[in-house]
Amino acid sequence: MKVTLLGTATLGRAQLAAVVKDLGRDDLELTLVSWSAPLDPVDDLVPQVVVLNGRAATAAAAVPPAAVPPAAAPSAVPDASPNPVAAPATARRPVSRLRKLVRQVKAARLAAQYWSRLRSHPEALAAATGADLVVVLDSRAVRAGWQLARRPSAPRVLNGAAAAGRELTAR
Amino acid sequence: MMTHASRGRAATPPDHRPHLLYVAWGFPPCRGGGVYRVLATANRFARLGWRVTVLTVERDTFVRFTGTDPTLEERIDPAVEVVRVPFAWPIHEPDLRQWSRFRARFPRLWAKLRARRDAVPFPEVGYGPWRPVIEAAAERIHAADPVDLVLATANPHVAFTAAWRLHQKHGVPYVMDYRDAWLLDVFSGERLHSERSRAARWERRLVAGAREVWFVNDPIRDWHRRLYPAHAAKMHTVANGFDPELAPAPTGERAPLGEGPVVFGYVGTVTPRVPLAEFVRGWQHGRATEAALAGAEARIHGYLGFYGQPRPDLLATIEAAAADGVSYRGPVGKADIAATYAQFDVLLLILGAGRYVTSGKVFEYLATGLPVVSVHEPGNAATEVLRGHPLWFPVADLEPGTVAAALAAAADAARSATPEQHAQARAFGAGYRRDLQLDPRIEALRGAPVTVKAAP
Repeated sequence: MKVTLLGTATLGRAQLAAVVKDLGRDDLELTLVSWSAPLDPVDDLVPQVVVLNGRAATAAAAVPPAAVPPAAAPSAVPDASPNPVAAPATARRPVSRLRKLVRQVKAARLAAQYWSRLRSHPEALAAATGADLVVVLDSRAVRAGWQLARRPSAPRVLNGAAAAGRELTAR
Repeated sequence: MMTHASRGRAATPPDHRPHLLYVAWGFPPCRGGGVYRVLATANRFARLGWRVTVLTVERDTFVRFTGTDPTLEERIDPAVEVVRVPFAWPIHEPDLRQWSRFRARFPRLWAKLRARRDAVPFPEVGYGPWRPVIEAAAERIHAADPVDLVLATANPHVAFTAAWRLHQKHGVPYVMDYRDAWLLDVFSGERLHSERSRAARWERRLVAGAREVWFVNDPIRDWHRRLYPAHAAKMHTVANGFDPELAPAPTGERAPLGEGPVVFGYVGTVTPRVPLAEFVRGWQHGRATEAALAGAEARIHGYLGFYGQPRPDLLATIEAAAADGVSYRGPVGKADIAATYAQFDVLLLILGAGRYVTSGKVFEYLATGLPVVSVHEPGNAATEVLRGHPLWFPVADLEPGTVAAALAAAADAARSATPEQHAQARAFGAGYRRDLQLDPRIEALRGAPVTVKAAP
């Protein structure tokens, strides 16, 4: 079964491993359509990676692996956050309203850019439309996922690897 | 639409057993900690001669959102009738085809607005809209087969509204069962909602009208008794206990340990609240100073943090003490629980501070009859559960010397405890079987006069 993952975050190996674990099946043909290249080699986890932002792809290899929070929560009730790969809450400084607004604007811009690049990138678009299931990995990729889901011949598009795992288990 | 999953009640003639309507959002096949209490409660009422109707959500909710454990569904007593009603949970809707354009463009803003809308029918985000659904379902159930008692379990607290509805309209008595607390943050001890909040006003009304209010431990019950002194007498502790069919088997008689190294074990989730670092410091101090701990091992089983991948900081804490015999063994599947406990000589109860929190692990530990070392603040609610255990080794504080002394004493006990002490420990643990916690309250409710108006 072909499963395409949509993500805008720069994912590390641990994050992708958690996503694959959440999907829960080892017979999946996985493709990642990412804004930037993964931090680590992930060929064994996701054989095909399509990078939409060329600049990041060339620079990414030099970045050392980060200690990143995984996505798979054993909690019975899923997180209400629309971002399924969000990091667990940690003590942080209060964020000002202006800073929040700036973040939101940047996120919206990236969401729009991601969708724009995806639909004009033949390989990425083929991977997304030709999959049996598309999984959105973060909130900035939701817009692209939603646009894909509106197409008449679109595959099922789900938000979050945990939800996709439950769907795949039920199939 | 209301669906019935009766196991044969429809064909049986009417009888005079009291009819319990049990309102519980998280019912099997829901997978989650609270579901064990819910399942055990429904089954126990049925076994003690009640006709039980469970009002819960459709199976699909659990299949799509929470994950399921089908083995729990198999444990529902065949006499229990399960009525499933729809539950919309749009915040967790993963299918993007179901999302509006506005939600897709502004997911966070949509979530904020949705949360406000959810709280209109009832002040509980995500669950408020369930209120009219269960109120109508409760009315239908009562009209078809008059209900003698409603037991509603929270959270979600919206479950109480079905009980409130039947009480207001038909005088049906009801019991509130808190698996947690509504106004109290059980971790911090702080109040969560102000006195004038809608949640507080709802709780005041509900407590005033309830026949009984159940809590999982004495500290939470006492907090509520202080909050509602006029209703203190109706508040009871119904502790969680362990389910004999799910808990690890009692270890039984074991061959003497002799002078061999002692294996300490921990099974459960290690969260950042757990004093893991304090335990490790105490362990290393003990290994260096206590002869009883020579060659001893500490095996940590379960999740490190809330996620599938171990938290790097917690894992590093364990690995730093690898040379002293501390190791992380990963999560334990249900099928391996018994085999895992069988490897241990002493159990480690490492808990975060929390006067109001009783970990379910305590009861699982008690089921084994093994010596238990408490590595937690004495004020933790688990202390009251363990008080009187013949092989319990608590600490007065989390200083390395104190922890090391408790570990050494437990190691000595593992070597030298008499068969009588082991038998006493098993007997002590057996007292925390879940059914034994429920029985006194169920019997009291059965004996209480029930005043029910005729259903229209």
